[in-house]
Amino acid sequence: MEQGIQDKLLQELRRGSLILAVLGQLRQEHYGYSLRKALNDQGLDIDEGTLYPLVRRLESQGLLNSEWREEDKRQKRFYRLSELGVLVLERLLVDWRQLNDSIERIVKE
Amino acid sequence: MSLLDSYLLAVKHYLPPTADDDIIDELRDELSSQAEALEQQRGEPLSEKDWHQLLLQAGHPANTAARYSGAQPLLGTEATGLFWLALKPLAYLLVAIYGALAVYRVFIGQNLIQAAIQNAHSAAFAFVLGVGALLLTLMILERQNVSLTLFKRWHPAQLPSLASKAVIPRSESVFEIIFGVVFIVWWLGQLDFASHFPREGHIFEVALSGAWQPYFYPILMLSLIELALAIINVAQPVRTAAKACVRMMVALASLFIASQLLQADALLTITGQVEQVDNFARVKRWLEWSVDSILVVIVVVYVFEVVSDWRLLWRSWRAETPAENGSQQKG
Repeated sequence: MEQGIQDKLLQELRRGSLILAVLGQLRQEHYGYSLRKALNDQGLDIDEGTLYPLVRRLESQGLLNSEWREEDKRQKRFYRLSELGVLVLERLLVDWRQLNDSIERIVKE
Repeated sequence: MSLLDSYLLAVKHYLPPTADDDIIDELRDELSSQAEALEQQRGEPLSEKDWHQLLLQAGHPANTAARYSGAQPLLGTEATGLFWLALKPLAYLLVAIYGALAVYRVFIGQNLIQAAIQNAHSAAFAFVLGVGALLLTLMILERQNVSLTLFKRWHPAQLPSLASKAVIPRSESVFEIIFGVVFIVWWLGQLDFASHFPREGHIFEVALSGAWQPYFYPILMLSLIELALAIINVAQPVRTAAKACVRMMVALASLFIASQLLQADALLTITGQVEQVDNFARVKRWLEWSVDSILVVIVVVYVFEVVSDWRLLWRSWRAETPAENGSQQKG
């Protein structure tokens, strides 16, 4: 029961944070698998069923640009932050840091 | 065809028709990259068993495809609030319309019970349609990003004063008394409603069947207890654990009787001109179905009452227990 509640809360907590992580990682160009691996290397485990639909949604919102290119003899779709994405990420990071500071202060009390 | 191909075909099958064509290509690249990474790690090609495991980890094709469907709740929070807010006025409106229609039908000479049953059916059907239409309208408005401004234009001072859940509205008790008295007088045979039903050019005589006979006194007793409770509620309009206990007993006994009656072959005795056998059978079926439906509604209402009374009893028990424990510890 407690584990179930914890899992659900963790899922809610991750939902917003993942967007920030993906946008942050896509300041450099990545294709799906390399993006997932890069996030994983930074300690953020994300399954493909979550990552791919998220990346597509961000692209449809104009925050990412993408193009199909051949690499290692296979067609891959490469993603990168768009100009709008860069602006939005900067603003989100300001909010994120403020939120993080507030929470740190609250839990320290 | 490889396991990967079959998997991707299955995902494609489950994807919505509007989905981008390159989802499958991208998924193929992801799974192939995963396989390559594994092969590099192990220094040998993946076996069929490994592929099986890899695809299991990727998830069922229907589940994988569903993540691309952009699923969202039927209604967002604002529209959900509006939906619940609009339900009560909708119910009142329909009761007013069909109540007026029933009165009109009685006024022009239709049988009271027939008019009541017909209009109750129509009102229930209209309510279901209304709920569907309301849901659909709010859904469309939300999808079209129409701003639902009702919740933005409110004033705290204009909020209606809501009574506590523990208070029983006196109007509810008065209605129960009126209904209870009429029912008991009718049940004792002292009030005679017209029992002829004119329908499709024929007149049918309707009476309760013998299935009700064993429950004559139990039903009378339960009605008297409910009437007594309603009278007490007028004087003391507060929900208490004792009242909840009595109500729950009455509801459980009524549920038992209703379940027994629903198993009976026929709850009504219907006689009439048998010139057209088909018409007679159809009207008989309609009347029996109506009585069965009313019984089912009564069962649902009683189940709801049992659950709500049980919750009240449980809460009052929980509220009392810590106090007792506390006083024991202090002692």
